[in-house]
Parts: sequence; C-alpha cells; structure tokens
Amino acid sequence: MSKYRVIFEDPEQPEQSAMVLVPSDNWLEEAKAGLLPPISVYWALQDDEQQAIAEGRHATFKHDPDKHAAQWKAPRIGPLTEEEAIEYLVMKDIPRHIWSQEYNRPMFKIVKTEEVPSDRQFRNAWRIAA
Amino acid sequence: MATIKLQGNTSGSGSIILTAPNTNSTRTITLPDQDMALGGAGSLEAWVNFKGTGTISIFDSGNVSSLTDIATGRYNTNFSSALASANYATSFDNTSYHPNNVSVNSSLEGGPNLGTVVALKTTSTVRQTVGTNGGNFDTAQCSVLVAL
Repeated sequence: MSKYRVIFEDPEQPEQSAMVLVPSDNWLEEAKAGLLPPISVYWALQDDEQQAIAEGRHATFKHDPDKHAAQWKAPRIGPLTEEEAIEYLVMKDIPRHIWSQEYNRPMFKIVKTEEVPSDRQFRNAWRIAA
Repeated sequence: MATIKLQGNTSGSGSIILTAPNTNSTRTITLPDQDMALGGAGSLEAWVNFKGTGTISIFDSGNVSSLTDIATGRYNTNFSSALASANYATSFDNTSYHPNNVSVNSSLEGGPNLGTVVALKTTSTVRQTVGTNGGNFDTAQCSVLVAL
C-alpha cells in the first residue's frame, strides 16, 4: 500500500470539503517499473474531451484513435520512485486548475497515509493550512 | 503434447491478431474444456473493489490509477488509461449494511440533466454515489465495473 495520500481542495467549489486521492497499488507498480507514458499524453486526451464538453458534443465524443493509442505507443518515461509517481498522479488525476495555479493558500498537499484523519466528521471540517 | 490449429473462415478473409501485453510479463490464456464462441460485445475496461469507510483504501483494481474520496458516500474512480469513449456502461455495488437496517444503494452520480452527468462521467473518471434515502453513506466495501 502506498505510503502517501494527496489531500486537495477545489477553489471552484469552496463549500466542498477537502478531498483525498488514494493511489492504486497496481498503478504504482507500473509507475515504478517505468511503464508510464509522458503525462502530456493524458493532458492531450483531457483537453480534447473538455473541448467536446464545452461545445456540447460529449454525447457522441470519441478520442482520436492515434492520441488514444499514444497511451501505449508513446515512449515510456522510465522508472519512477514512489514520490515521483505520486507527483505524476497529482498531474494526471487531480483537475489541472487545482495544482497549476497559485492561490493565496495551498490547494493540495501530499501527506503520509497515517496523517489522514479516518474520522469523517473531522475530515469534513478540514481546510488545508499554509 | 497439445497442438495449435488456426482455421480460416470460408465466409470471410479477416485476420486473427494476438497482441502482447504492454509490459514485460508473459500472460497465459487458459481456455475452458468446452466449445464456445467469444462474444463481440465489448469488454471490461476497468474495475475496482475498495473500502469506503474511514481512510478509504483499494483492495484490488484493474486499469484504475487512483480513487478520490470526495465526501461521505461519494467517490471518483480514476482510470489508468483513458477510455476511447465516454459512452461506457457502469455497474456500482456496495455492502448493504446500515446501522438502521435500511437499504444502501450505489449509482452514477448526476442530476436529472445530461449535462450534470457529463462532467462526472468522462473517459478519465467516473463518480459513484452511495447512500440511503436519508443521505450519502460510507460502506465497508464498494465496487465499480466499467465496460465498453
């Protein structure tokens, strides 16, 4: 099991409590084995889909076959440490506006698993401190 | 010693292609001891089985890079590899235990409008909501199946 979790908030949803990203062990093994494509492969797919949503054509949307196949055909980036894999995962699975822009306080933090409160009532009241 | 026999079809000239996995692993396909025809109705694209209480954790998964614990009874399943289309089928399940013995159900989160669903069911992620008629609820075991 990963030593890490990622706590994040969405500045576009200020009423939403802090969320917790939980890495998959199977995916981490792939990352450590060097089997991941460049992160830009996923961003290209996300951009195309977001554009389809914005233009109201998501119902019939299909990825460009070449861009989709790049997930397996693009050159691999090589083995990552667990810490590097978590950073990669942040950029892949957390919405981009949360980690790519500066706010007046942190919007995400990578923490040790045991640092995440297991009590839901406590976590629902959480805010990420500077 | 078993033999392998490849047989063409007189009704068509299509090819059989076996593609190796995208890892250095050797994978074995073991067929059942009976005649059968493989269906062409798509395939399981992703699955996950996880603990939804406390600090959530993944028991096991396939093509899932992470889960996002959004709030009580609300979870995103994030796919390792994006799917080709967002028009996939989903199945959500959960353990039924609730302290007051009311039923607990899982479903795709979304409002009555298709537009509400769109942002929560993309080729990269899908959101599950678990709850009773009294509100969202965390259960000990949840699962998600995605087929396309």
